[in-house]
Amino acid sequence: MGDVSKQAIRVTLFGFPRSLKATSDAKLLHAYADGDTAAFNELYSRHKDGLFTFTSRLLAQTAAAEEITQDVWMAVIDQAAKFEPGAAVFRTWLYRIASNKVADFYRRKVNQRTDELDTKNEQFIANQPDVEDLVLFDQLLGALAELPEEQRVTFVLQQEGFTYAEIAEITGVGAETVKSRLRYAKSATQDRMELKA
Amino acid sequence: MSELERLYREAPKLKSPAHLDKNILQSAQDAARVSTGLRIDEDKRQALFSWKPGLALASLCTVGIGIGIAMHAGTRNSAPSAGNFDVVQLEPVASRREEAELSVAANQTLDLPEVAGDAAMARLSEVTTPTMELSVAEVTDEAVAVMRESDTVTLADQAAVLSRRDAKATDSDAMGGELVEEILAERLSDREVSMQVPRQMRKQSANAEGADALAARAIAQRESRSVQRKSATGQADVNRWLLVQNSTHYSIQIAVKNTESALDSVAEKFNHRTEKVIAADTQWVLLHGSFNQRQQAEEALIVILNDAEKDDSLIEIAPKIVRIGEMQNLLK
Repeated sequence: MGDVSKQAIRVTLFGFPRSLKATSDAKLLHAYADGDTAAFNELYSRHKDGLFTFTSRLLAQTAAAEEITQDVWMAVIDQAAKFEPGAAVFRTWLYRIASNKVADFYRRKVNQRTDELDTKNEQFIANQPDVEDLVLFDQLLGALAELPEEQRVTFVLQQEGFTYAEIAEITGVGAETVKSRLRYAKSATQDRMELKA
Repeated sequence: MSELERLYREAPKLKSPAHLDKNILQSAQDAARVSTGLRIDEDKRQALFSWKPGLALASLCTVGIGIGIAMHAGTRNSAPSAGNFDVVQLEPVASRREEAELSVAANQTLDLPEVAGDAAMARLSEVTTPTMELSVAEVTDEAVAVMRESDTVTLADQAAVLSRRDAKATDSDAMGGELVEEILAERLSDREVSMQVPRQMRKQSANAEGADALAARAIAQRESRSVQRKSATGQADVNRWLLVQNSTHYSIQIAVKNTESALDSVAEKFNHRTEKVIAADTQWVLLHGSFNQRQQAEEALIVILNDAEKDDSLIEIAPKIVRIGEMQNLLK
């Protein structure tokens, strides 16, 4: 039994967290580093969809998104014991890894055209009956794919709910640079969407 | 919020594909299993490199007195004692070497620098520790008798040692594949209460041999070694290799039975991890490996010990990790 599980039993007496659900990401990761796979399962369930969405929308290729997502989680597994809660928030750390993996991917595929887009995918179609929005979102993904990588990453991170400071930490640039990239990203995307429209 | 942002944020999150989830969770489980295994190894390492000071010290004191008496009786002078793997140069033949061989355990490795003169012998005497480690699993009835005679070993400690030994006998009888890990852990745990007993003293006191018998046996073994030495490949190589190594590196020294299979088995493992394996041409095989960090050496040692635990005949003397600089000092 891992630390978190033991802790869950202990703290129940005091009315504090009763299960893994009430345990912080950092503690879950720490527990996993100590061999508690249940803690990892909980951590994974919290972030798996968000991370997959993030990589999918950045990469615009389902197969590549799956590959990168898996690479990111493998890195988490490998580096679980090295994670320092004081140095970073887990989610920021996770997306920094993802961001780096995506950057690596683009470096490898620098000459590859973006006409392999397929992430307007069935799930979106199934859940989005509004045809107009569907078309617009498809255009958005296409426009995003044409942005420089750093602008695309910055934009998608912001849409995933990260603050300027967090994006700055993830991408390794200053907050002002983040704002600048966002400004360019939005402007360019809107221009392209209007052009296509 | 701009239209662009609204469009993006209102789009439903994608769901991670089930096959991806399965792969990742399986990988996490596998990694945790490996990690847990490594932690067990780490525990074993801790046990291996730790001592129960009281018992160890008491045992050491008990047999230490015996050693003194035996050495006094069995040698002309207070000849230096070699540690488990401390180096010895057997060439050229000299009276000092004969004295050393008489005084050193019949089963000990002899390796001295080629310049082994009086100064080197004296230095060796200062540096080395005339003790070796025996695990409880190897404790013989005679050793138990020594322990019982000791005033400093408590009854509780004696009972613990005997209990462990008896449990080991039972386990050995019932050993199956699923018990190997458990027994391995037990054996390593046993080392925690291991005693430092000079091999020659253990043999001497256990068998109630006199100094003459010990000397005769040492001479016989020396002659045996001299035959082996003729086909030796190694001492000069050992010395040359040691002198060019980084003095801050660590070496594992381990003595295994000088049989082809034992040597091959251990050498193969060392070769995976070290720059060099050297076998000295004595009754025992002396292996050196160079590691940048002590932790690397310990990890390699754990691998070897884990394997060796399955074959009691493989390793005869507990291995140790030393700084190469210490070995180099002996050669200077």
